[in-house]
Formats: sequence, C-alpha cells, structure tokens
Amino acid sequence: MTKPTGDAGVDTVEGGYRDKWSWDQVTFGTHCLNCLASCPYRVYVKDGEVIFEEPAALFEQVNPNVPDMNPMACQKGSAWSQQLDGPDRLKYPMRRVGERGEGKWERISWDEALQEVAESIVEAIDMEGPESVVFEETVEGGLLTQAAYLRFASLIGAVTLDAQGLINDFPAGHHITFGKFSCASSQDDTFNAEVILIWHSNPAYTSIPYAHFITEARYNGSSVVTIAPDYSASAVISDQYLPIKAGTDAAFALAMCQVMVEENIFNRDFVISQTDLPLLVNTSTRRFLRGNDLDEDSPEDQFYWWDTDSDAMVEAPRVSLQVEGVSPALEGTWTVKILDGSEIEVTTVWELMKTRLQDYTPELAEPICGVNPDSIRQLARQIAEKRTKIVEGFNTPKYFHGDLMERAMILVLALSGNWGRKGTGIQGLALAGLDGYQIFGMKQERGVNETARIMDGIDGAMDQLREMSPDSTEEMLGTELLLRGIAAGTASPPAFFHYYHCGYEETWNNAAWQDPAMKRPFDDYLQDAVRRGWWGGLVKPGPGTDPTVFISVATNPIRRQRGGSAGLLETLWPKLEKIVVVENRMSSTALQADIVLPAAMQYERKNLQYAITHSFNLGFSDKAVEPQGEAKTEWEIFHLLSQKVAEVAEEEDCVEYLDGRRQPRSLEALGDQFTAQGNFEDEEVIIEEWIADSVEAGTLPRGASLTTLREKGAVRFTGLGLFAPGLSLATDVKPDEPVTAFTWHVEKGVPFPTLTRRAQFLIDHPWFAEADEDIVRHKNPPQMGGDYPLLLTSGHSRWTVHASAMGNKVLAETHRAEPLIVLSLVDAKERGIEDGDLVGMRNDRGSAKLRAKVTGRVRPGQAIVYNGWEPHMFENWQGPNQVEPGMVKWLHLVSRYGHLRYVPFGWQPVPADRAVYIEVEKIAS
Amino acid sequence: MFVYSLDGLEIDGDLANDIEIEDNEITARSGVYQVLGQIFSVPDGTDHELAVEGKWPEKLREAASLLAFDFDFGVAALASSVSAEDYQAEYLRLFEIGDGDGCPAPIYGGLYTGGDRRKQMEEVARFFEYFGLKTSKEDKRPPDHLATEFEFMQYLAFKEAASPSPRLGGSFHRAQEDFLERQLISWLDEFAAKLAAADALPVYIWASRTAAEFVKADLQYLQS
Repeated sequence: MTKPTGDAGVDTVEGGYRDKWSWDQVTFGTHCLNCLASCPYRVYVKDGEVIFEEPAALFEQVNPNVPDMNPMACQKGSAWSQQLDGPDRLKYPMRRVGERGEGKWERISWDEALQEVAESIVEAIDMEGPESVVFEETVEGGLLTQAAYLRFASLIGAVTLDAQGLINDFPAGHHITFGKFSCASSQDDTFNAEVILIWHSNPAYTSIPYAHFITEARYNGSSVVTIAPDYSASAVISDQYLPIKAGTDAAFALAMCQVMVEENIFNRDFVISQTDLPLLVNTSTRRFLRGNDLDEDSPEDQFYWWDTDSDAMVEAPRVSLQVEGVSPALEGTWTVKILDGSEIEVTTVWELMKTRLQDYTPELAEPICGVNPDSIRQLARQIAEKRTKIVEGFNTPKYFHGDLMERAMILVLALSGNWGRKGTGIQGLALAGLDGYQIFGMKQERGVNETARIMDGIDGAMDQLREMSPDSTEEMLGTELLLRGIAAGTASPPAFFHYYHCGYEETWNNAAWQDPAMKRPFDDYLQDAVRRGWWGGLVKPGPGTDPTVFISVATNPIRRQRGGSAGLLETLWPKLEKIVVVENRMSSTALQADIVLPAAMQYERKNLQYAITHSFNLGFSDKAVEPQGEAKTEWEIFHLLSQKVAEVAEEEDCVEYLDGRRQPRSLEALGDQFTAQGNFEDEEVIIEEWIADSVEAGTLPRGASLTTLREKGAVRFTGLGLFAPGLSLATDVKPDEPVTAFTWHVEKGVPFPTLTRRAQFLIDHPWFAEADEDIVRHKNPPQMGGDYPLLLTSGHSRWTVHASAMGNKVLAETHRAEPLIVLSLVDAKERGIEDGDLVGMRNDRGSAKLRAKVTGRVRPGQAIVYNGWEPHMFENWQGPNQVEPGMVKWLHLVSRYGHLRYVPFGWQPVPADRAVYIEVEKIAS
Repeated sequence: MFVYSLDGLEIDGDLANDIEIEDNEITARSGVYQVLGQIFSVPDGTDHELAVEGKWPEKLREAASLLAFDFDFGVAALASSVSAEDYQAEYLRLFEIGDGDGCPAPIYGGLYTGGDRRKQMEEVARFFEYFGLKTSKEDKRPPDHLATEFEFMQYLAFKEAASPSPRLGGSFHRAQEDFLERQLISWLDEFAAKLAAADALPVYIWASRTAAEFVKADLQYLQS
C-alpha cells in the first residue's frame, strides 16, 4: 500500500484522493460479450492494474436531426474490471482429480495440459475419426476467440455445433418470410419511427445502451407502445401498455391485420409489390401456380399474377419487385388451363390470408390474447397511418411457435407498408460483414496480393453462379456461395447431435409436449428429413460415430442447454473421453470438465467485436494489462495446441488420416498451418490484417487501421460487406444517415431471397400445409412440461449478460443476487407464498428450488425466471433449465424448399425454452 | 523500360523484384519518387557529383517525362565549394544528428505528426508489410524515414502499373492516396519550413519544397 502524498510531497487527504484517481495509461476497451453492443470504454491503468473504466462516449453524431449513440454503456460493462481478479477467475491450467463435477482439481503446467488434450484429440482421430471431436460454438468473446477455435477445428476436420442451434436467437419467422433473419436497421433509426412497438423485448433491461433512442423518439412526438404479458421496465417508458397473454402474439397481430383489411386501410401498392400475397394459388391444393404447371420448359420457381388490366394471367417478374404495366389483382378466382390440359381454379394468397383473418377479428382474438378489441383497432389504425418499427429482441425464437408470432408481426408491417424506409422494420439482430475476418480463413499469406487473389477468386465464383442463374440478386448469389463453402466446412446444426448423442430422443418424441397438429411422431419427421437428404453432410457426428472429445470455448452449455444439463451430464458426458473447457472463469461447464484452460479476458488482450449493425461501428478492445496468472488468449492456446497435436501425432504414428468426407488430411505441420507458416502468429498483425482487408473490401473507411482504432476507439462501417450476412440488410450505407434496412427492396425493387422472390406469407410445403401453418395462424404453446397452471417465461436479466457477470461482486450488491422466480400477487397468495420465500417449481420434466419475488407487475398465470443463473447456484445443480424440455419444432426440419435450407447461424431446427408449464409451491423453511 | 529499385525496403516473400514494364504515366510517377528517395538518402560521392552538376532537377524531369500533369521541378545545384564530405556532414547535421542544439529538420515523419512515434512507425511498417515490403535489414533505416517513404511510393506506383488485375491495381492506387494523405502530406510542409529556417544548403531547401509540392500535386492527380 502506498502512502498517499500531496502535490508538494506532504501527506494530505486530498493528495490521497487525487492519487487514488490517477493513472499511468489509458486504452480503449470493450467487452466482446454476447450482448453484441461493443460499447467503447476508456480503461484506466495504474501500476499494471486496471483501476476503473468509464464509457468513452466517443461516437460522432451521424445526422444533425438524429441523436448520437452516446454514451453506449451499461452497468455490466462499467464493472467489467471487477471480474479480472474475481473469485471465479481462472488463472492456471487445471486437471480434474476427482469424479467429474466433484470439484477436486490439481494445478498443472500448460505443457502437461496441452499434452493431455492433444493425446485425446489424436486418439479420437485415430479411433473414431476427426468428427468425434466436437466444438461447442460460441458468440461470446470476440472475433479472435472465435477465429482461434474455428481455425483449429477446420484444420483437423472436427465438428463445430452451429451456435444458433444452441442459443436459439434465430427468428425462424423472419427467415420464412424474408429468406433471411438479419434485418435490423442501426439503432439510431429507431428515432425516426412515429410508432415504436416494444414487442417481445425489454430494452430497458437488455438493450441499455440503445434504449435512449426510444425515449428520445418519444420526446420527439413518437408513440411508444409496449406489448408484453408483464408490466416490464420498458412499459414504464411507454405511452401505452397492452397486456397480452404470454404466447398469444400471433393472434393479436393477426387481429390488427384483420382490422387493416376490413377497414381497407392497408397499403395496397406495398402489398402488391413487396409480398407474395397477389401470387396465384391452386384453390384445391393451396400450392402456388408454378411455371412447370403450365409449360414443361418453364422454371418451377416462376410464379404468376392475375392482371386486371388485361384480365389475364401474367408472369410475376423474377428480377424486380417493381410493378410496371400491369395491375395485379389481390381478390378473385379464375380458371386457368394447365399442362395436362385440365382446367383448375386459382385464387391469390391474399384470398387465403383474408379467409384466415376471419378467424381473428378483434372480438375473436380477445379471448385468446386478452387484449381489448378497441385497443386492437386503435393500434391497427395508428400503425396503418404511421411509420412503425417493431423493437423486437430474441424472445420470440425461444417460443415453440415463435415463428408464427414473427410471421404475423411481419404481416402487420407488410399491410402497413412498414419496411424499407426510415423508422420502420423489425429490430432484431443484424450482422454486418467484417470482410477481413471472412477472408482471413482463406489467406495463406499476409498482404494485399493475397487479398486480391482471394477476392478475384470470389468474383470468379460469383460470375460462374451469375451465369448459371442470371436473374439472381447479389444477395442470393452471396448466400449460394456461402452454402457451397459449407459443404467442406465443420458446421453442423446441433439438433441432430442432441437427438443422437445427448438423450433428447424420448423427450422430443413425447407427443403430449409437441404440437397436437403433428400427425406422426417426431422421429418419423426427423428420419424422413435425413433420408431425403435435406441435411446431407450436416448431420455429424452421425448416429454411428460416438463423440469422444468435447471442447467448449467461451461458452457454457451446462448452464445454457435447452432441456437442462441432464441430457449432457447423463447421456453425452459418459461417452466422452475428454472434456476441455477454455474459459476465463469457473463456469458450470468448467466445473464439469476434465481439463480447464484459463483464457485472457478483455482488457488483457487485443480483440475486435463481432460486426453488427446496431451501432454500425466496429468495436475494438486493446490490451491494457497482462493476463491474470498464466491465462493466455485463445489464439495462443490453439496455436500451442496445434503444435502439440502435431508432435503427439508423430509420436503416435497417426499423422495421416481421412476426414468425414473421406478426404486425406495430415497433422504433420498443424502448428505451421495454424499460423499460415508464421504469418499469423502475432494477434496485433491479425487484427491489422482484418482491418486492412476490410478497407480493401470497402467495409471500413479508407485509411482505417489499428492505429485509427487506438486513436478513436471505434470506426463506423462504410459498407455491408461482400458476404451474405451483411448483404441481408439490403441497403446503401450513407455516411450521414442511420442505416435503414431493406431500402433496396422498397426503393430499387430488388427481390427478396425467398422461393417467390417476395416477402413470402404462403409456405406451400406439404409439412406446413399438414400443420395448417402454410398461412400464418395462432397456436397456443404446446403443453410442454405437462398439465400445470403456470406458464414459465424468461428474458434477459438487467444485471448480467447471460452468466458472465454472475460472479461480479459489485453488481451482486445491486440486486438480490440469488436465483429468483417472479410471481404475481394473485398466484403467490393462492399458494401462501410471500416475497423472499423459498419455493419449488416443478413439472413432469424436472424441478428446481429458488426464491420467490412477488410483484404486481406480473399477470396471474405467468411466472418469470430471468436468464443467467448458473446451475451451481441451485441445490443439486437443478436450475430452471431442468423444467424445460427444450422441444424442437418439427417443421424446422424442412429443408431444400426454396429458401428453407440450412444457412450457418440461420435456418435450422432450434429448441424452445419458454412458455413451459409449471407449478410452484412454498417450501417449508 | 522502367525498373524500380529499393534501398531502405525489401520485397517480403517471393514476389519478383526485377519486373520490367513499358514506361507510362504511372511509371513516370514511380520514377519521380525513386529520384526523390535518392535525393534524401545519405549522399555518397556520386550523389555529390549529381548535386554539384545540378543534375537532380534534370533527373526528376527525365523521370517525369510521361507524367500526366504539369509540374515545375525548378533548378538547383550544390555549390562546387561544398565538398562531398561536407555535403554528407550537412545531411547528417540537418536531418539525423543535429549540431548540439537539436536536429534542425529531422527526416523522420513520426516526429512531425504528433502522438506516439513508435506506434506510428509500427503503423507505417505494417502498411509496408500489407503491400508486400519490409524494411531492409542492411540499410536499417526506420520506416518513417523520408527516403524510405518515397521508396514506398515508388514501389506502390510501380505495382499499380504492373498489376495483373484491376482489383490489385486499384488497391495499389488507393494505397498511394492513403499513404500520401496520412503520411507524406501531413509533414512535408513543416519539414520544408524547418529546413528554410535552419540555414540549410539551398539544394536541400529546393528539394524539400519540390517534394512537398509534388506530393500535393500527385495526390490531386490520384484523386482525379
């Protein structure tokens, strides 16, 4: 402890205070967390320790009429430094010495740890093949974390479980309708909205850095409406709160659509140009009228309109959404002659939709969703007139029928003409493309020559695709290119892994917990999908290959696993020879591992955050201090591991092998391959290369470099990138405007990447038709968990991003810091439960004990457990996941139907973890 | 035929160093930067001869014969009374060592642009590396040395001219713009002013003013 001294060298209280708040060095930092905000902070260092951080508030105003992004911060980021040496911080490699999960460890050297991991990997490759080495993908930790394990996995031919199928942030309804899910504008565009619907989200908790745009828009005259079952923290900042029964949003949305149609206040031109609603459908089969129905030489994906000017059927254009020289009908039935000479009756998707909407008049919807018909009408009229944006989070994907909710919510926007112009659209996730990162995997050398070679190669491949499909858009071609790369990749949608290897078979085949519309057992659908080759090359390790090594990097499956940890611990774990966790803190998964490798945290390493469009800036985190203990960055760890694997492989005479595609591989030079012969050893060089290549690709501004990031803390993107995720936004980036998604579709008439090339509201796939979901409808959540009276929902907590801040002592002092279930006054009273009581929640799936938080803000019949509690915080590790069956919707097994096909981090079966039925009882103290 | 040559920089990797291409407006620019790099290198006997005979402007004009924009390189010669030894001593006094009272006009860009010079040198070195060069192990000039920066411009322009693909050519073209903007233009005016105030040999005052004006004219051309 240094004795405080004043300026003149005299000991004073003032001097001590000044000394406390003095520092040697300031760097920029961000946290690369899964909140994806990448808020820039200034990190203050004294004597080699981070003493505090503060929001940098460095963003320049993009447009004088729109508020800036600042300050971009929350309490989790502001307390990050507390976790650098927190009690759960991992500092040394460790090996389990007791039983798994027993908690007995020994500290070992890096060399010992890597030797043991390398031996397991080499043995797994030798005995079962490289696809028995399975990585749990993560979106935590920033780009250098991800790049490290993905590169290693790719080099040995391992399997990486697609993160989207693990975290289920995937709004399937967006993909079903738009052919893509990444379609959010930058957050400042919210200010441009006249009506903001906070719907299935709680930005006051989960989007703290951006929530100010909502308040600012409100001051600017916008109307803010929160639609939620509970009176959330975001309802407080709204003009109107519409309480809705959990899981009934589709009914509510469809009722608003019914009002717009009934009162003829919908945007007819928008509907005709942007959607499939005017396309012709065979009335008897409910399938689109296709080109090959009429002419064997016509493509299957040619669709038709009925032109009211000529009173004849005409081809709907494939290359543009512009409606020129034709007046497509929305209403009517007609007779057309098809290829076999017979005549069939056709109508429009619009007519099918109108029929469906008759089931959802406000009066019919009220008993379902609980919202007063007057409120439904009033809001529908408001939306029809005004620029409206839905501020949606990642809540809908967690519902079994979240896709129906999303499709209905998008229909509201379609009818009101609310996408592709300022202040409109649906605000979920949007990924930008940091091209330098994307190109990196293909680079063997540093520098622009290699970059140009790769980009020329991409151009060549795109030209080939364009030649094969001349009427495809750049976005479609970009997706196609991505999909071709997947064939040789490591990615696998994890639903199959969970089904075959993690004990989900019985659960997902429990008909009582599935949708009653399923005509066959889940297994029939799954086997059918696999047999048809819909997921060809993606089901890995397949049922015949046991996983033997499981590697988790910066993620926490034991906490997060939908369906609870039992499936992993009881079914998967016994199959595994080695469980390796690379983490910076002793998470629940680390506690259940065999080997734990300590990773450096942000502030202890350089890193870039994922490229997302919410702030539309690239976030940078500099190294401010040395890592705690012996922690290393993931890049260092996997470089060392690749060297060690090469050594062990040579010792074990297991250098050459065939990968899962029967292609020869060699481990001989794995270490050199990892760094591309030493070109990419230095992480600073890698970041610099990513930035320089992104400048080359036009995604970052000219002159941007690591120095720029060190000077400014962040840099605004100048483009969407060359690849599919960025192009999904389909808009031009302007330096002086917020980014508004989908302007290409609306202003330029660029088609959507769907089967019909339009926002698609009819999915004429037989499985969807069988489920009566070809046209959107409402369905109650299935009776997941059994016949119990309370519906368990969730949401992200205000106090932690998942479990990342659970060990933060400063933050723990700002909340109750123990697992809670939030109950309504009514339900609590009925059960004799008082605030703070220990209660048990249970259903047919499992049980957990936690404290009750009793409040008037939750509606009777609903219970909330916010996300993030670690299983080890519960008795016997039984947390809220134990009551979730983690059901997968069988319709999401559909593939090879137009745009419904696997896309990395996109279309795939994802598990549901919300709207589970439970009972809660007081536990006698 | 134009052949570029490097002293302070080396090709990193196996890229050919001896490509010859037909002269054109781009190689003309490369040639001018080549001569400017020579002028600001530590002078040897040959350089002294060229300076005394007033050949530097002439060499610049020769190199610039196919230049796409007009530029007046002026006239300058070193007084014959200045020996080769004194010429080199003056170079070191002005640019590298000083005269006991600091260096009148340091020849390192990182000392002009403010901020941390080490970081700036790192940035310049990475810029070199990204475009296929590294600083010479033999010459050991820092990457922000004026002669090295001119050599880099010489190389970039040549690579643009010799580029096998429009994309790569575009990359080298943009790199020249960025390097001029972020590096040379940001400090050459101040460098020239310091030389003028330092009672420097007129040939160096001429050279620094010419260089400062040329990079501005060249950027305008590149951006046109």
